Order: sequence, then C-alpha cells, then structure tokens
Amino acid sequence: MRSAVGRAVVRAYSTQSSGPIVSSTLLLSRNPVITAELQPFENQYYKYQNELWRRLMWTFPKWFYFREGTASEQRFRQLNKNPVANNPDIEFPRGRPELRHSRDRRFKQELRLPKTYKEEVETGEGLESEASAAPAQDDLARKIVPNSRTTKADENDQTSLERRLARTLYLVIKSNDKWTLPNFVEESAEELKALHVLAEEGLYKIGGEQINYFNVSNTPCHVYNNSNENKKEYIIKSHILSGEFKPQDESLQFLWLTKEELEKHLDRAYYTDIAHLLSSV
Amino acid sequence: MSLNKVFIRQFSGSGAVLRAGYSTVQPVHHLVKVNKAALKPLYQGVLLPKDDIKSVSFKPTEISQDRVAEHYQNTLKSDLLLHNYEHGATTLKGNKKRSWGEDSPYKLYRNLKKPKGVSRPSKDVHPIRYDNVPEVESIVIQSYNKDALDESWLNISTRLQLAQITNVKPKQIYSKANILPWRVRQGKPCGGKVEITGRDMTQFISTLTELVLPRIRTFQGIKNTSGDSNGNITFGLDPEDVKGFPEIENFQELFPNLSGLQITFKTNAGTDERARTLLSSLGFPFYNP
Repeated sequence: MRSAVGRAVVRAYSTQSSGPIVSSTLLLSRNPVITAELQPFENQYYKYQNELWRRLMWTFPKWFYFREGTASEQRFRQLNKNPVANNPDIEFPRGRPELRHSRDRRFKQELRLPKTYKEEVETGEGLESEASAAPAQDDLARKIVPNSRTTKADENDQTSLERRLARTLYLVIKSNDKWTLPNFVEESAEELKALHVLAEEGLYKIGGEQINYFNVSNTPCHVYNNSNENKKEYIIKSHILSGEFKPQDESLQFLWLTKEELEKHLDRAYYTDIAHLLSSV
Repeated sequence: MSLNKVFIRQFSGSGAVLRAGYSTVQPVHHLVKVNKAALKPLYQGVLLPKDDIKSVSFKPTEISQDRVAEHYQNTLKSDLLLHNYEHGATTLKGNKKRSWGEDSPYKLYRNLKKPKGVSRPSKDVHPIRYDNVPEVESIVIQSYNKDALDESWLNISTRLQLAQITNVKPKQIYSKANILPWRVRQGKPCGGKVEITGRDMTQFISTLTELVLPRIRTFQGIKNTSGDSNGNITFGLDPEDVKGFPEIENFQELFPNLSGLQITFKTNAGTDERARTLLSSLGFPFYNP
C-alpha cells in the first residue's frame, strides 16, 4: 500500500497537464409525489373499462354485509331505494324490469354505502343544521377530501420542490451564465475521493446540509465528455427525500425543472447527451 | 358362458370361460389423454383468458390507473438496474447435480448424482441487465387454520377472509402429513391459499404498506433472515394484525374467526439480497432479528 504522499508524488509526475479532468456531476431528482397525469385517451379507456366492469358486476350481496334487522341494514335501505317493480299491470315501453335481489339486472348496480359523515342526500331531509357545522380537522369520521393536484408553487416558483407534483424534477444551477447540472471538481490532487463522495460534499457545500438524499449507486450512470473544458463528467444519480436545497452563496441561482423544461434551459449538445437519463414522467 | 365369445384354444379348458368379458390389455390410443370436451367448438369461449372481451366470463382488469405499477415502471426500475450493477459481473454457477463419470457404460444413463453438500441443486445467479431487473411476479397468501381440522366449516370462513382481502377466489389447502398429537391427518382440509398477480397484487401491496403494517404496534419489519435464497421472501401476520385490513376492519362481526396469513413475495431477483432491495423500495421495512 502506498502512502498518501507517495501517491501524490506519483500522481504529480505521471499526470499530464493535457489529460482530461475527472469530475462528478450530480443528477439530483425529486421523484413524483402524486400519480402521473393521464392522457385524455387513457382517461376515456379507464372510464370505459370501469363502466363495463360495473355493468358485468355480480349483484352486491347485501344479505351478507347488511344483515336483516340490524341498524346498518336500516341505514343501507334508507340510502338505496328499490328499483321500479315489475308490475304486470303496467306497460313498460323501454323493456320490463328484471329484478333479482332488488337489482334491475338490465343496468349496472349503483350502490350508496353508509358513510361515517353526513351526505348531501341526507342533509336535504332536515339535517341541515348538523351538516352546516364544518367537522373538526381531527375528527376521524370526517369526509376525506384529497388535496389539490396543483400547488401555489405551480404558478411561478421554479425553485420550489412543491411544483409539478406529478413529475420528476431535476436540480440545475447556473454557472458561467449557463444552466447545468451541478458539477464538482476535486480541489486538491493529493487527496483522491470517490465520485459519490465528491458529489455529496459538493452538494452540501452549495446547498446546505439540510438535505436528506438517497444515492442510488456509487457507480456513475453516465459519463459526459466535456471537450470545451477538457473534463470528464461522471454522473451520479440520487433522489432528494426530504429537506430543501438552500443555496449557501447568495448569488447562486438554481431551479427544479422537468425534462421538457431542461431541454429549454440546457445546452443542446449537453441535453441530447444526457436526455436518456431523464424521466419523462 | 356368453354366446358371442370366440373360443380360443388354450392349455386350460376353463381359462376362457372364467375370464371377464373384456380385454385386460390397455388400448394404445388411450395412452394419450385428450380432453375432448375442451376441443368442442361450444367450449372455445371457455378456454379464452378472462380479460379477453370474447370470453364468456369477461371481466375487465384495467379499470383504473395502477399507481404502484406506474411507480415501479417510472422510478424504481431504472434505479434498481443501476443499484444492482456490478462491473465485470459474470453468471455465478449454482450447485448443480453431478455426473457419475464416463469411465463405465453403466454410468452413462444413470440418474445424476446429488449436488455436493446439499440435497437440491441451486440456481445460477445472473448479473442484472435491462431485461432481468428484479420485479415482484406474484404474491402467494396462505392461511393455515388448525382449528379447521376439527371444525371443517372454518375452512369456509378462512377462504372467505382471504377472498375478502385479495379479491381473488382462494384454493382449499389440505394437510400433507400424519402428525397424530396435533390431530393432523393427511388429506384433511385445513385453510386456503391464493396467488395474486397484476392489479390485485399491486392493490394488496399498497394496502399492506400504507394501511395494515403501519398500524401494527409491534411490527418492526420483515426479518432480514427471511427468504428461500432464490429471491422469494415470506413473512407472517397474526389474526390480530389481519383486522387492520379495511375490508375486514369495517365488518368485524362478519369475521369472528380470523386466522393468520403467510405472505410470500415471489420475485425474479435470484438472490434474497436483491429481493430485499426490491421490496424495501416498494415500502416494506426490514430489520435484523
């Protein structure tokens, strides 16, 4: 085993000044937080399949889940009115009802199950005063309303981690009046550092230590040959899990961008070289 | 003696008389079993897969967006490929069955010798490439109910409980061995099992990781020692934990006799280590027992 000094001496004499500089580039991404946006066609497809499934569904076994004579069964009956009976004395111009277990088999079965909160149907029946009072936030029986898919950051804040929740965002910084992925070069030739260590230390240096991130692998996923600066940029892939990128230098500009936005911000040659690493979702 | 029997000259006179009226030689054309009913044109609709719209029992499967499968496809798959990459990795040969040698003609067609040191051969471990990124192929959920050995109607509630949780009709399982102190008799029905794939599987994964496991107070994770060394990982849930499934929690009076579950994740990872990485990326914690 060589000592660090010995290694530095060997390195100093063996390395030619014209050789490319080895550097580490960090591909730091924020994974999607919510489900992917669907194309209108996909939406229609799922809706169609869902309706087919409901139409072909077996009749709901009410006799199993809501036993005769129980309070829950009474509530179920309040919510689900029986369909039109097959009265032999009445003419049905659109076809006779085909009732089995109080379901009209010609149509899909639409069920209204008892909920832990009051519904609009019931509020119409004189329960307005109770329903009008908004339920407490810590009430476990309250109706669960999903949050909005868009946030305030979606409007105009490209530095926020809360923008474009359905997409993968990548960190880019501005260096030498150019938007690039953050790139870190080893400062001293004496000390050899692993690429992922170099990337981590560089990230903490420019973005503060309040970042909890996951390094996918110590192995770089790509190398970009930067011929302008005579650099080999090894790309290390990681995900930000929590925390925030807070630039330590006031002048440092940074953005969290999606793949399409990266195409507009990055150099054309640079983008085409790394485009396959970026997620289109 | 029947009249239509052909008399054949034999050494014993009574042979032909006492023999029953059919040949004991198996006819050759019955050696190949053909399920003729399946060949009937009438039954062609039955043979089609159930998600084919031409099938008589068509049931649409893609009824909504599959969140977990999309997360795997969009985010996890490329990460697992990179994470499992090893420079210059080659296929690790498993411990295979051995030849007896070729120095004697008697050894040529002899059944192969057992692998060295172990009773059964192990599989080759291939390096991870784009075409064999680890993924969960299916989940097998088995529920053994020892009380069902005495009270056979409990088999129905065990299978109903499984069906309720997984949305798939379970199979009956039968005990394999005779163990008299436990009253186990071979062939007795004793619970149910179900293998889920596709959407039912991803739905089950998200129910487990988001609703059931976080609410088990004593749950530390899946044991790191779990696994069959081929990348299939198993863990168990107590009857008390099974109550956490929302399908059962809201109808507890319908399921008075719950039984525990044994959940096996079948993966194509090849080794347990890779399978653990895969499952922890899907949100299952692991711990050192």
